[in-house]
Amino acid sequence: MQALHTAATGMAAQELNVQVISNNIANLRTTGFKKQTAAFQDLIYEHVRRVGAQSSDQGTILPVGVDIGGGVKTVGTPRSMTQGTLSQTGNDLDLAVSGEGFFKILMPTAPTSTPATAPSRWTIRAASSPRKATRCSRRSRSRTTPRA
Amino acid sequence: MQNALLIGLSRQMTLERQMDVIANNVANANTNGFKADHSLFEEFFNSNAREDNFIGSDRRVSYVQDRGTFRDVGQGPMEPTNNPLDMAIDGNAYFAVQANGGERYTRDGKFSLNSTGQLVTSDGNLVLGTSSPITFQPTDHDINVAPDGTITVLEGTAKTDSIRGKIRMATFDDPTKLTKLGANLYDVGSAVPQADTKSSVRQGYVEKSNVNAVGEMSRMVEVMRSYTAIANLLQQQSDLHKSAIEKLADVPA
Repeated sequence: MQALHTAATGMAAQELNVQVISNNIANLRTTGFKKQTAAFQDLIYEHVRRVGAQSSDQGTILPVGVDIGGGVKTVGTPRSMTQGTLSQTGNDLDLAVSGEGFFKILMPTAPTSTPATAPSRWTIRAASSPRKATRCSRRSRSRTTPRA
Repeated sequence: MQNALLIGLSRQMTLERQMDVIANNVANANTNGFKADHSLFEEFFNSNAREDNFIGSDRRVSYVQDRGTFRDVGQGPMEPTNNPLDMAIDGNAYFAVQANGGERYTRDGKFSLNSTGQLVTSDGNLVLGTSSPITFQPTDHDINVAPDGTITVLEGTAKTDSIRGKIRMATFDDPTKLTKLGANLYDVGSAVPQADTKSSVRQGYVEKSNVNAVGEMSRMVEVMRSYTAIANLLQQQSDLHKSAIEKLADVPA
């Protein structure tokens, strides 16, 4: 029964879709979070009768073929890099990027213990340079290419 | 005597095939740019199998066979994503992409950039422009796609637009001649791609699957009921044979 396997690939894809959506919902209040969406593609087809094949010795051709699809696969979970809403906090050290840029963050070279996660707030350390107090959930890198 | 069994079986085989097609549609109900398939059946005369109990000309036995699957090439719903590299085609055209085996076509407009700044599909296949693949510079920003597919950007601190290419859209006289290759791609086969003038690109939208999920579910129920009905019919036919054999073979004491 091909139909059962095909349906199973669909269920697996939708399960992943729910995972991605629930992660988005879980990060509804995460500062600087960018949502992801699941992208799917169809699997290869079994061409039982190929369209355009000759169907008689008079040269008639089949206008339609019999194509049986194998289901669906997840091709990726691209991140939507659109601007989030900016909220005013009144804190002098709260910064937001308007546009496509990122903050660049210097991570400790060899963390010996797992750093605790913290909201994306900035505090002044003893060295008096503005730095993240602890590890940030954003990736530290500078932008070089335009992002989707 | 066995004709009813064979005819019922031919129907069950086509129903199983139809169920495969429906399952694939349902599985791809969330696939961007997917076009639904539907089954076509036709009567199949068997000139050798005859029902001789009829009087007159009604003697030929006909079976059913699947003649083909045809594609519903209708427009899928447009979902706004606000992503500047997501594009949907409003019309009959297809995006041209460079896949492993050559030029392929797709309706899935969820594009992104690769490490060299080229516009690619989710699979990493190059999206073709009218002259060459579309390549962006590292300093490009504010990407704009015009309805005719022309891509303009602001480069660095420039105040005027720079053109980065034009999305190539192709149409076909008979789009059902395209064969699905999987991965949202179509193979051109014997069809000839023509430059499209009527369709337009919509930036910030993706075209969802044109599968009608509720319709597919009801069709699935229909197939199940039909299959069960024929299974019952075959069972009754079999019971009829059994009782006939028993009664005829019964020797009165």
